[in-house]
Amino acid sequence: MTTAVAPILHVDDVTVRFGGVTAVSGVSLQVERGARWAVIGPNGAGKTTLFKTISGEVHPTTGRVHLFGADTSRSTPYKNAQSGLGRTYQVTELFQALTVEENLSIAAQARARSRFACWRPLRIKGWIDERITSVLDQLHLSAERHTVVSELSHGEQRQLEIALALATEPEILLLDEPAAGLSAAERRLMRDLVEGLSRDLTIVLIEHDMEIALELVDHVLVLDNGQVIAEGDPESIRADDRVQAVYLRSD
Amino acid sequence: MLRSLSLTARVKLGLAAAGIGLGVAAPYIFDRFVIGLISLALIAGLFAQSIDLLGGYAGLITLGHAGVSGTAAYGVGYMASKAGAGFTAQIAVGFLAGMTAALIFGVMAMRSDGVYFIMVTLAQGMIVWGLSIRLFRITGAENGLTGIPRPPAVELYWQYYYLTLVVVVLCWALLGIVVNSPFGTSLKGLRESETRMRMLGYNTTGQKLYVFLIAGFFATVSGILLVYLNGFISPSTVILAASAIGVLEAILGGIGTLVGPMIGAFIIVFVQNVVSIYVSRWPTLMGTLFIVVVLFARRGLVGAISDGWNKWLHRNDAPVSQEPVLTSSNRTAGP
Ligand SMILES: Nc1ncnc2c1ncn2[C@@H]1O[C@H](COP(=O)(O)OP(=O)(O)O)[C@@H](O)[C@H]1O
Ligand SMILES: [Mg+2]
Repeated sequence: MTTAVAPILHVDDVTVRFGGVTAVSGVSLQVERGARWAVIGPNGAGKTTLFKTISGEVHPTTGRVHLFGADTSRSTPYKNAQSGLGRTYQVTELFQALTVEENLSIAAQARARSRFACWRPLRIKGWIDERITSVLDQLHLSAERHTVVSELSHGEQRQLEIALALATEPEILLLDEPAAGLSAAERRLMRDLVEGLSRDLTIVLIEHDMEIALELVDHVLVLDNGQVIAEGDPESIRADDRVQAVYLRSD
Repeated sequence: MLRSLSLTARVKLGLAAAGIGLGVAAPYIFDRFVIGLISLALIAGLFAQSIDLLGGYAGLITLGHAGVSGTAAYGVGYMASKAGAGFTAQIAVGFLAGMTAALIFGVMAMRSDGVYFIMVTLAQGMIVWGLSIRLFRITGAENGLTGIPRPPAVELYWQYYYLTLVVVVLCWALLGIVVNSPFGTSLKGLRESETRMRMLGYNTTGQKLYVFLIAGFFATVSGILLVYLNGFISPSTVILAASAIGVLEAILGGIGTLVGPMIGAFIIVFVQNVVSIYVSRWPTLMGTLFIVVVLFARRGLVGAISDGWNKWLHRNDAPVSQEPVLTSSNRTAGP
């Protein structure tokens, strides 16, 4: 008998209703450790809502979510983050009045006991400094370390979105449209940055742009009106008539 | 050592030294009336700093903070005038009362934010005020509690002034450590985006309770200092206006700083007590001053001064605009 390793993320028949609106309808997926998934679909398909049920920001109306093998259907974002979930936002959600370094120091200490320390000054040194330096390097932001976030370009803010999540050293990372609002050149940079992330990190990516998404992942889930209309590897998704129809309709 | 500091740091250090020097020399320069006002302003400043820790740093604006400092003051007053206890017991009960109020209020408020946080704390302040009028046996209702003597070692006005100065400067230093600590930095994150803080792994509810307790500690200290300064306590110490004035002082001086609330407190205490002698419409004057600051110096007086200072520092820099320039120094190519 082989011991089956539990998937790092298991969404089991999840439905989310907001009043009369069914945002997510009977969605299931199983993400194995180290896998890279994309969730694609037109605007309003329910992609962000699916992310929120995984992170704990929204609780499923019916169905279950399991993270790291535990039932997290009723869990909260902070508990999920403490167990190793990272998530970025479609609409930039940064500490605008603080510097890049301050942003990252808050993120780096989020899972360390030192976050409670109020009796000594914050010193960026040792492991905190190493982690900030490494994340800045990965996201090509080293030159902006001491810049106040509100003075960064939109593209740099999108890079910092990911840097912030990475600084907590998550095991699974949910990226909600990392290329939202970027120019063609910036999108290519963003694609390369996501491509270059550690292979140990499990990634689920929401991307409206099908071409970018399909280049980055090995599994794709296509949502429309809250429902899964296709699932498979990038090749089969490209060839799928129903996916083509949905994208032709929305564009 | 001094030479390794920037000009700005040296000026700040100089001002701090001058401030402390003036503070020590004050009783030799000013009369009893002025020294009393300075004592009052120092205490009001500590109270406003503690409000600013919540409002300016953590983004949690409170309108009920006098409920915390006032409960501490009533604790001292009750033990002194009703229970006839010694000073150690008076101060211990004052601390216990203030911190209990902070704990209860913190638990009530920790799940809210923004306008709801203001409303919850407003209600808390009203409850304490209501109780101060109702609980006649404990609080003396409208008459308040009178005849609260100071400990013998600090009985004289100038002795009590020095005690106040030492305690306030010490608390100021402690607050300085708190706001620059890892926890203090995370408070700024809470102010900027609670959503993001939660998603990074911060229990923001716990964070709010924690900062409420720290702010409650400093409010408690200010309440205890105040009751011994005045020698009495009455419901007017815990009315809404007492909490609101603290917020105004912080905004006037500059929120998100520690020196700002102190400067704001000095201005308001002196306007209230000195200008009011000559100008009968002093509340109008104060209102006008406040509006001018809010309109023309969004970051308060400290913000305006620091902007002016930075402008002066960089007065000889090459003029910008006209041509497109690279703004970030690290993008400038070497020769
Ligand atoms: N908090 C909410 N309350 C009501 N309706 C919502 C809420 N969040 C999302 N929706 C609705 O759910 C649907 C899916 O939204 P969303 O998950 O944001 O889609 P996507 O990310 O794929 O563009 C939309 O019709 C949206 O209007
Ligand atoms: Mg979305």
